[in-house]
Amino acid sequence: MISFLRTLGRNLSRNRARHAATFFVVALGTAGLNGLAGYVIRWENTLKAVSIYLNNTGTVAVFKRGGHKNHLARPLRFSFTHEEKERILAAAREQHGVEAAAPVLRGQGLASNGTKTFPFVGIGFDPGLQRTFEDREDVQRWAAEHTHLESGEPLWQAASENPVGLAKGLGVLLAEREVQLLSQGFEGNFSAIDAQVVHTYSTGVALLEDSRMRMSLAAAERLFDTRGASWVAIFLRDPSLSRSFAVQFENVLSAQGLEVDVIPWQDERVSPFYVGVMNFLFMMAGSFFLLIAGVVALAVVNSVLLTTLERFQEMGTLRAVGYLPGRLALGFAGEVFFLSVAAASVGIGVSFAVSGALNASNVRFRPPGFADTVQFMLTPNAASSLLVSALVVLVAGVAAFLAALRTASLPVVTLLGEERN
Amino acid sequence: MNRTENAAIVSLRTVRKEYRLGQTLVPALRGVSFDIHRGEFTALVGSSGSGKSTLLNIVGLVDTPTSGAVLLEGEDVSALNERGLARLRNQKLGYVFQSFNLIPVLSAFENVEVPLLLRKELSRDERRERVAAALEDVGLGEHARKRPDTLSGGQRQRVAIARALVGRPRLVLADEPTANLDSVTAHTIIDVCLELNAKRGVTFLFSTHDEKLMERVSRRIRIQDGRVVEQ
Repeated sequence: MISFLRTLGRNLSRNRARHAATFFVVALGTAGLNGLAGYVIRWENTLKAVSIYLNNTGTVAVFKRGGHKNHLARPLRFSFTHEEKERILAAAREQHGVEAAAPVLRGQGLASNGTKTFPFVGIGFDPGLQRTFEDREDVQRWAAEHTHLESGEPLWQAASENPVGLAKGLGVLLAEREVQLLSQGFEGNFSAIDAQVVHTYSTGVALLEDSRMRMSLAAAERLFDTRGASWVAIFLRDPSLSRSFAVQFENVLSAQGLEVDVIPWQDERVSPFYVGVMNFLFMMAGSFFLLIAGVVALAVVNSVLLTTLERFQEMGTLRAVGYLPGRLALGFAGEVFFLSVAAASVGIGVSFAVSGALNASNVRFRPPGFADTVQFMLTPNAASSLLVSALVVLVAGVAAFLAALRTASLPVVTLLGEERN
Repeated sequence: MNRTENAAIVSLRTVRKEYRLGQTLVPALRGVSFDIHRGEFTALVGSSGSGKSTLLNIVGLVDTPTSGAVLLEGEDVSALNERGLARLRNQKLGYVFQSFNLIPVLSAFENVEVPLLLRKELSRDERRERVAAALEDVGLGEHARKRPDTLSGGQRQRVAIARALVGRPRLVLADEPTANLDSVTAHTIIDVCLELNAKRGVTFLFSTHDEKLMERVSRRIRIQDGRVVEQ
């Protein structure tokens, strides 16, 4: 093994300029791919934190059967009664791994400042629980921007009876601290409350900025005249278990006679924005990977073909003494493998250095459909670095093997340069 | 060295070789037949383009005839695939090339060791002993760690001879082994080969067009226009 490594090292020193060029391409390709992975990781984590904790979906959301589509338009038929809600909460607290379970109310109505009236969609939840979630380490790390208020104080600090927060656009439209809210109650009657605007916030989505409102659960119960729930949000300690928990918990509730849909947070039905964005990012990342992998492969093929050309007669000699073409090709692939491992390591280092510098410089941009600018961040991690390095080294090694095999498989007499005499 | 009738290492039977040059078929060998017996020291002689290198390549299993049979110790090699041919080349044949064909990044010792790295039956120590012995046989024991670019032409060719012998082949093939050497060095190389032939019974078949060297061999096979005209 040591002599193999020694020979490999000596061969790599035979044409340093060419190997340096290959090293550069592999390192740059790895750095680019790991940076791209860091971009995907950033958004995956940000949207996950927003979906689970800031949009009140929970790790899994329990809806009445068909309720995720219909609870807003037909709350009487597709929302939980108080009794159903309590049974679900009780069952949730008995499950292993549940961190918290909370009812959420969502309804629509009209908001008036005394002179103008605007439609709204409002969501009511437990402010104290919301505060706990916003203080979470992962939420602060990945989605701190989404917890900031444009103005005012959070719901959990408000002393008023019916505190509400208005989305930025709706806040501009109403432009009053005291507003009247009118809604069709969950049982079909009309209901109204006087509310106090305690803050304005950004929904993050431009289309929703002039219609969204949030309020305490108590205020929502008064407005929608119900003690039921549009859905019950369940928060697991380990979000990676969401899918399996959803299946298992749905069976538990079905056994109790409850007709429910238990939907994990990654499902398009409850997190369409997350699913849409991540699908796009994965497609984009996949395309870039193919592009960069293609460049790396071509660079390696070019380098190996030139190297085999230089070592034509040497390969012929080795074939003449009994080496098979595959063995020779493995030798070349081994050289490229070790070169690529070293280059990928440098590339990973470069990606982390560039990411750190970029993140520290707080570059901001406005993605399509977003209400505000967000920070452009790259957050590669150990897993992405390992995966990217492995893929790049694999591509380079396979490309080298195939390129070398093509030459090594030529007739021995051709390699020796003795084709005709 | 006497021929032993029943100890033919290589037998060629009406071997033909044709090359295609565009639309034309060029015959390099036109039905060559001969045997090489154990212990012989044979030269293939002929002018440039006579077909001697083509013939050597076919005997050495690095080229295939267009028709005819090549038997190595009685085994018809035409039915063998590349893996089988490679095994025979490694275990039964040795090669000495005109340009030495040493691997420049390996020392003399490592170059000689190359064929033995395929022999899984040899332990590391056995392999190293054989390499050291092969280098001693050609008088280069003290130069084992040197790389080819620090050796003279004659020394490089002796390393190549050691590499050809280390696997204890039945037959050593040498294609114009002295062509790139001065006359003094060339005779030295032939001396080494003759000594190995005499003391260890190594069978040699080499091609040359050097008339002075032909005088030192025990058997000559003369080739002209792809045919054996004298043997």
